Amino acid sequence: MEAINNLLYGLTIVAKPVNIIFMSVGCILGTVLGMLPGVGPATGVALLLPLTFTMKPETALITMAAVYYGAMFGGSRSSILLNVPGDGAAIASCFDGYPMTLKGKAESALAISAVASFIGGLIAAVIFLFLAMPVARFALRFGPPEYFVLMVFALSATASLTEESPVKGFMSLLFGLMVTTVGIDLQSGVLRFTFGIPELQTGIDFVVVIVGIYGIGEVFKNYETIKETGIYALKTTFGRIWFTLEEWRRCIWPILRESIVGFIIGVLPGAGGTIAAMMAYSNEKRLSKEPESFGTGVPEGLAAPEAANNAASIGAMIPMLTLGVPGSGTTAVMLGALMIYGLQPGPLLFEQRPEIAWGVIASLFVGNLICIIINLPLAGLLVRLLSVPGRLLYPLIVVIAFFGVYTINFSVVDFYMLLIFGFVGYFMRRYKVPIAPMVLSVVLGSSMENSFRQSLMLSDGSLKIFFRSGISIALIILTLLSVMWPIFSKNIKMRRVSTKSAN
Amino acid sequence: MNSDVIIGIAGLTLGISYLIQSLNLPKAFIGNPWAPIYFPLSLGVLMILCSAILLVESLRRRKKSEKFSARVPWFLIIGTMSIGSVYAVLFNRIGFIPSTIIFIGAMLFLVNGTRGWLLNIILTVCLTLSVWYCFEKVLYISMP
Repeated sequence: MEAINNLLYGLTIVAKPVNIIFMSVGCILGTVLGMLPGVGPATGVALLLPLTFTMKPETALITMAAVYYGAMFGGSRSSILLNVPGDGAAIASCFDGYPMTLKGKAESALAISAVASFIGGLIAAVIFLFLAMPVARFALRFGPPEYFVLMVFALSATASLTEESPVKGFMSLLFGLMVTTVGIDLQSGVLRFTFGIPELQTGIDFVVVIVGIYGIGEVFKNYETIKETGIYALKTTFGRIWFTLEEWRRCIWPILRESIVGFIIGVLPGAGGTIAAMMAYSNEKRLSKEPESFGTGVPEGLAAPEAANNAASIGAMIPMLTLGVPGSGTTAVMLGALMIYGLQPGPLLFEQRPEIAWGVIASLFVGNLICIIINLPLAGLLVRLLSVPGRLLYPLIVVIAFFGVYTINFSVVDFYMLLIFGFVGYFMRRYKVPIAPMVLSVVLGSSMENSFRQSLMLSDGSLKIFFRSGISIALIILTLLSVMWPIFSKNIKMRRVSTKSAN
Repeated sequence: MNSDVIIGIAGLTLGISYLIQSLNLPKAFIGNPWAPIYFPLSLGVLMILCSAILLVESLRRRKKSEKFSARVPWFLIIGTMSIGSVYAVLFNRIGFIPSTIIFIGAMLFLVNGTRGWLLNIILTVCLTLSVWYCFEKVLYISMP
């Protein structure tokens, strides 16, 4: 009952015209950004970040969330029509989505993916609604030592569960933490790593780092393939975008099953929409009576990953909103938006600023509805944007990034920082160093060091404080497991390969 | 050279120089003098450790240098970085509108080429003026 009341309260917040307008803009922007190959939700949310200065916190967060799940809707458009995934989470949608287009069933594919995303999003939002309060209440028991260990766990899990090499994940994480140590140490007043540059005394703003890494870095990476964008021969006229009863019958169970799987994976730090979609696809293939038909254009092969990736994007918001610890790059940026307002995300947010917490949760229901409206009747119109050439798009992203960071400190020094981090971001992408751990640590770094030092002050410098409560011991064990996981999984894989070759 | 070796060497260099810098940080006047140093120090040590693991692993595997699907687009990257830096220099000196016209125009001509010159010019002027309007009239931020 409490959850329903909270939902109703949240809906009154969402129903304000300004929130509805910005949420719709966010849904459209997300869909478009998700659709364009090479530009993902994290870039969209990062470019939006400086704009949030002008909004109320609940509006900012509602808009960002809309961009996030909007991108999950949009990502599959180019997978289905062009066999080019809009972002990582839409890769699995190519496997059966594109073959459906080749079979002349593009309309069904577009409709199935939109409806699957919608149901996935809705199921995840319902679970979120009922889970939010219990998790937030539990988190009230956390003191500085527990928070420190929780942040260590979130960071190490993000680094080790990355799709690239875990060692590189940890290096990315450490680099992010190093960036946060620049500037005055607030507890002792000591200047650290400022190299005599006065502008560095206040530290490097995480917004600049994020916009540089995601915005400029992504543009630099896209420069590599700039000649190939916007040249697609694209179907832009469609018949009725809907599916048959037979297709619906085949898809409904996979959608329901994989929404829950996607949600759980989304909640885990580090594992995001891409892993959720891949796992959903392979689950359904295993469960199917005709696994060999997967990849030839079966609707359930498209519906499962679509439901899962949208559910994962909503699941990923739980740790961010209830614990104040994000588990992915995009949610880290959203957390950053809250911190800009001086708000401490986490359990107290639900007590002190319920309009933000419940507004965002309620917006997930309305936003998914807006997304399906955008993605069904307007699909034909939106896919035309895929023919916008990168030659025009990328310089404009650079320009938006510049204006965005200028609004933070009104300082041109941030322009240089933006370019430096863009350059770093490009090489991180090129050499396959995961970006998310760095972004997470840039956002969390200062609070992590603070809670570490607060804990030591409480214990008079003794590290034993981190082993005093059951919660922190459990979190330390989880951290150790997450660090060991890559070694275990490597061994398991090697064993499997050797038994296969022995057979 | 394979990419892991490059990242390993870069990480090692960063880790060592960061560690040396951390050891040279000023001590705190109040409380434990080493308090501001512990955290950076451990970051430096961990970075060196991770880089060493990556280097050893990649050298042991002896993976051949991988082929990247595309070359580094140096021309566009250096072009963007130079235009951005010139913008940073000009911004406060010649004012928002002239410097922004140069910035957006140069970016568009660099990436979109000269063939679409008319579109480049129209976009430059419209964007500059609309951003100026947004800052000055909507957000009430006074631009140089």
